[in-house]
Amino acid sequence: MLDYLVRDLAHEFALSAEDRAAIHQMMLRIREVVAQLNELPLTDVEPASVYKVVP
Amino acid sequence: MNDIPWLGIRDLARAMAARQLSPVEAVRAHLERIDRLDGRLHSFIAVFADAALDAARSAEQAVVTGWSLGPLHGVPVAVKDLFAVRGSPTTAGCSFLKEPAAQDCTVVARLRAAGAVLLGKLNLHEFAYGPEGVNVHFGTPWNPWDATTPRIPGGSSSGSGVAVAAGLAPLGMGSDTGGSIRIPAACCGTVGLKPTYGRVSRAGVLPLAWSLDHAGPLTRSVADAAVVLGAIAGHDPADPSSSTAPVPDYVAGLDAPVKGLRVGLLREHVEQAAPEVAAAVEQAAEVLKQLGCEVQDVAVPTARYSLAASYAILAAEALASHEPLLHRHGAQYTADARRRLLAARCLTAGDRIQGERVRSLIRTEINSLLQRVDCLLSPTLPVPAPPVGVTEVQIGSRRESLRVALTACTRLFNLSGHPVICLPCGFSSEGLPLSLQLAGRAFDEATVLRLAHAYESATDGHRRRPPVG
Repeated sequence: MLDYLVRDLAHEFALSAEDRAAIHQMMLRIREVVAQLNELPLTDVEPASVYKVVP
Repeated sequence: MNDIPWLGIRDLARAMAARQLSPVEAVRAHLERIDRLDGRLHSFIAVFADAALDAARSAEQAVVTGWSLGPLHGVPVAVKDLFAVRGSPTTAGCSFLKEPAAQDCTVVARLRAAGAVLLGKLNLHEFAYGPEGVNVHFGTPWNPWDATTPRIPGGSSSGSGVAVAAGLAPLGMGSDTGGSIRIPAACCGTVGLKPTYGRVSRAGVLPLAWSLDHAGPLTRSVADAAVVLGAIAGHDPADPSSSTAPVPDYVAGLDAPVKGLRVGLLREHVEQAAPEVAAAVEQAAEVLKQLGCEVQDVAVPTARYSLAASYAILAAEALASHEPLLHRHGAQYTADARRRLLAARCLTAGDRIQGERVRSLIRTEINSLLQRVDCLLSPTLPVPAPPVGVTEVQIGSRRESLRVALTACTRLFNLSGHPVICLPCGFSSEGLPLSLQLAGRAFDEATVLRLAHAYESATDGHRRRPPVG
């Protein structure tokens, strides 16, 4: 899936081969880190509201 | 004249009100210092020398005629070049934003209304998207604590940290999305205040990530941060996140006793810091105990997921805010900024929701802790400022990505929105500043400032000056 995303980005933003390779690596890292969010039992947790802290 | 640039905001304002110092003298002294040192320090992107001297002359006239003076009357200040200033481009530290702003952002308008004189605009990490504070377009600001080795000034408000630390301005306004006020403040040995989300307007400040962006001051003392917060805080209908919560007199409460305040020490952050940082924060906890505070270990269990939540939220918002510009100017971004922004395309809507759920848990856990304690104490950074170009740092027995390490203790409070102040708490074996941070309840900056002021008054880390001319 990441290959397709990078290919589309390259087309949309005229990216170089170096950009494409670096972005692919960064995406792998993002997916690896973000996957940690699924370790938590979050089903019953309401997402934070951006402005909830503001009275 | 030589000591004027080292006067704090309160001292400058007092001296001017008492007619012991003229605003023109103060502005000239700072402009002279900028002229002499900033060729190497690279803290300013633009200096408004003529406009500043004109404003100083007006301020001087107001003193002579006995006009009612604001809390910053005649005080020279500078803002990160992410804040709109009428007639000047907001470069955001990039090479291609050159359109002059039509009007001042709310913070600049409020600083001017309080009497401040704007010296210029400060350097930053390109688009405020990086914790190192480097900049290839305007030159990386030189961390003034090391005269020979270029060390990171911390970002993204790197020019603000350097200018304030080096005596080029007593105030540098910054913005903080994952730590961008506190990281440069820590690297450069200044005070940095990230107010509660909604406390200070971001209207007219170029966004990076709307739900995480905060605006706040970098100063050389806690009292100065309190003065500035009083001048810039308060509701602004131009910012949808702006709160209507009343703004107290932050200065009036500074000297109130801290005896009996309960402080929670975030043990995990201390244990994950380099030994000399951990020791400095432990020592700070002892100082707080000697001041009569009760200190206990506490934990935010979900904090270990703050990096994942930050990726899911910050990266997605940053891409959304930059996508139109990337379409037009993508080739003019530095490769690092372009690639990091575009890599966020791999995030899904589900990631964002999971991130917001984790943010909800973190906010709840911190709110719960702050029912039991009044403030949370932790290191600001796990390491002192490393050399420019380093991408990994050694912390005890582990190696870690520098970017991850720099935001390890700070990003938590961007997610939660709680107010945090950071201030010096000693020096490393290499003579580099170490820093602690104190977080408090939402909209209770007053307690955070009071405790920080008490700690600062009991110690002398903030009195040391960096080895610059």
